[in-house]
Amino acid sequence: MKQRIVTLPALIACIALAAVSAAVWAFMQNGAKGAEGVNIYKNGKLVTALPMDSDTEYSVEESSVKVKIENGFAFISESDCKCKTCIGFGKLSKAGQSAVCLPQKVTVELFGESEIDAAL
Amino acid sequence: MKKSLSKRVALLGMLAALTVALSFAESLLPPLPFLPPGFKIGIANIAVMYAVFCLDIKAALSLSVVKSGFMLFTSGGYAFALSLCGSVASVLVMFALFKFFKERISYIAVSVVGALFHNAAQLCMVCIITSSLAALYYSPVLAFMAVICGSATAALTGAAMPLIKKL
Repeated sequence: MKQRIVTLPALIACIALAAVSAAVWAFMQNGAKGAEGVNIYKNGKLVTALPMDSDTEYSVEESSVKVKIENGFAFISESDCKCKTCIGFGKLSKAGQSAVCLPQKVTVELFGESEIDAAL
Repeated sequence: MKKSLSKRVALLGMLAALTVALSFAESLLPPLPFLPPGFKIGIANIAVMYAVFCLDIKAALSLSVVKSGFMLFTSGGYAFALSLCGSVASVLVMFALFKFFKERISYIAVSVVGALFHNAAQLCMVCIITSSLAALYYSPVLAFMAVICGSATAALTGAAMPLIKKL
């Protein structure tokens, strides 16, 4: 078996895919404006929407997840899940960004008008 | 590649130990900026790729289960489910590519497509569990990292293959 590590078509396809995805990501980052608020979902259902401009802490019903809004940033501050992946999403501020806690089925999604939405 | 059962058991045992060791080493790395938390480079896939190329699909799938089992103990049931669905999806697509194209396909193509399917399957799983499409926000960065990490894994596998093929 003479398996090659890389071939020219594969290399071109990889570079093209990397360039396209990086461009889309850069466009999303530049296009997104500061979020106006946070939608918090439990089991896919909207439980509350909080404005980004007032500092607050919200405990999501039937879960141990706490969402904090502080100085224009929203983040999951507490959760008693084992992996703590949700806390690792860190401080979010742009429209479209999200944080997820799978074990507790909580989704935090920032909303606000972005240039991408305006363009569509 | 016909081998005796005892040799196969010993080889699979070593590969399983290697995936767990590489998964553990990977978990020690600090999280990278811009990436969703829990993102892994996937170096443990070197052993899985070896199994895809040199052993068979049963061996590759058992290594995926072992790798995901490690996640069950360290990060809980949801991490296990995510890990399993990602690695099973990637093993199936890598094996299909390898069977179909044989030596006409390169390690990098198999590895990158495998990584793309791994990430896509995990994103779908997250969307299903949360009943929300919010996680799709990260799809461009996951596609980008699939190319980078898939290429790195392919290069490592290609470098290691002449040595481990002798096993």
